[in-house]
Amino acid sequence: MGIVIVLLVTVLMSAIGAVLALATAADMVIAGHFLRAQEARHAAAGALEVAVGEFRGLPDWNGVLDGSVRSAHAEGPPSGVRTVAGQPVDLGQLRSLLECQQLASCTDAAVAAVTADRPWGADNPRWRLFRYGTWRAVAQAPSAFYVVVLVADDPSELDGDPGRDGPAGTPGAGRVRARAEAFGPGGAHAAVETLLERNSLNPAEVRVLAWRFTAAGTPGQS
Amino acid sequence: MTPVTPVTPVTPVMPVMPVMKDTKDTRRNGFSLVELVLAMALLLTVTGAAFALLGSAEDRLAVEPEAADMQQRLRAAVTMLHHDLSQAGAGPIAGARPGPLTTHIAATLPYREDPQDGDGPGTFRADAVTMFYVPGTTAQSTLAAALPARAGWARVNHDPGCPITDPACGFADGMAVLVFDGTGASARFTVTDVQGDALALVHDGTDSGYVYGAGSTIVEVVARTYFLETDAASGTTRLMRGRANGGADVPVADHVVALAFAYGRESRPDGVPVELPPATLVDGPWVPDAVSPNRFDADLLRIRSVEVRLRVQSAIRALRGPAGVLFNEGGTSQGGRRWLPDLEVRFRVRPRNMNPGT
Repeated sequence: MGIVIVLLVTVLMSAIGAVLALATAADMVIAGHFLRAQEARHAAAGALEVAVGEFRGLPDWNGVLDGSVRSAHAEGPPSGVRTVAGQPVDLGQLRSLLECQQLASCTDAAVAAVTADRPWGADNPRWRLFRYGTWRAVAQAPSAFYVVVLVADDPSELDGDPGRDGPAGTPGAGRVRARAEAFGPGGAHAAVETLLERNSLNPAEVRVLAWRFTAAGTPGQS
Repeated sequence: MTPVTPVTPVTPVMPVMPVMKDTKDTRRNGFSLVELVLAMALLLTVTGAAFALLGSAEDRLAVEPEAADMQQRLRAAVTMLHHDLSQAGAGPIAGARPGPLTTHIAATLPYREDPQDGDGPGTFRADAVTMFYVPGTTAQSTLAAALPARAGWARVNHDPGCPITDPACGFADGMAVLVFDGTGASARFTVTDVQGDALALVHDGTDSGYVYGAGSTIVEVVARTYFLETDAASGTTRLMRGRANGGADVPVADHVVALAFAYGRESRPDGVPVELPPATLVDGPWVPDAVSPNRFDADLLRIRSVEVRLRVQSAIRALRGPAGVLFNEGGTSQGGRRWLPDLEVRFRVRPRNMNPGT
């Protein structure tokens, strides 16, 4: 009789334990995703702030816009695949998605095509990689995240040259768009975009005209 | 004569069990009192321990799913509040007045702004906040002709930054828009029709005689308000998110028992923000003037950070103990093993658009 009671109690406890383990495991998974999503946002925002600091020290933003000037802290060539927590991050695809919404490399015609997301034709932004590398190197703290900062000309310009800032006094002159994306474990991904304006009288003075979270891979969409 | 030997009767030989064997059999057929007592004690101990563990496991089974649910409600609320507060004040990036909204209007209001069911200017509610930001769309331009603060048609300019093939500059039916002119005056409208460069607008607010001149900025706007509401059906309080442009309010998290916003201005040199007392946010001076329907206290332009305090409780009364430090609202739980105390979180957001030059 005693052994039967003990066995029944053991079975019941095992069932309860299994249910608790499942519930706890699910909650831990959700909490983990939440944590990584938060870290992704903070990493993207932090990377953008660091890049803004570097922009202040640049005498001219045209080199950044045509891709000839990059951050001194950029890790490796501005293309190829990086592995982040076992997942590939293709820097080329990242640019292509922003410039023509496709994974393959964009042709000039595709970049200049007028679409709902890129309605400025010849002034459509051409994103250049400015700073990219591990978030650990920036934050000086343990992190598995990888951050990428891209820069493009302000599409309000009407000069038809997205690789060069417009002449002083024209619409959009002295302004660039900057965008940071953070990639992390479990597919965590966040993007932040900003419009920066440089004081023409004091180039070291840079103002943030607008700062927004954006949908990853889709510039401008909050 | 052979004597007759008397026949000795044969006595059947019965096997005689040795004494030792007898003793063994006796033990096989029963237990001694000592053995029984020991066995019962052992059984009671094991069964008692098993039931004690079972009771504890039952308690955990009752508490853990609800604890996970509370955590999830808190995560959802924090995520949405942080997302919107972080972007509060983001302004247009094209048109005549690019830059943060806070250079023109108050982008964060300490009350529920709602034309139908909200609070008015001069109100301070610690449990409500309204914020505005311009989304990253192309719908950012200027007025081509004057627009009174009431329903009517507005014509928009095709400014730099507008889609090159769209005379309406990206404005579309159903879009919430904000008009401001640099004096501090502003009005919100909803687009109900688009024809060429003309937008049919419905005014989301109190009509006035104020006229926004040609060249005033018109942009798409996101207006978000968060507040606590008591659900009439269940009697519980929940966090609501409203679209301040007349859209339906949606519940964000149930059983939120405390929500409080505090506002900070420029930080001290050591980085600690200095609180803006509520009284300073409702006593004027007023922008653009003291009678405008959309007036706001000028001190609202000094807001640089928002601190949020959020508290959720268990939805199950049987998991709540007596009201006090651990429980905002008392429950029926008698024992600490089935107590699930309220969860509270505090966080501070420093909206980047309200700190543009730093």
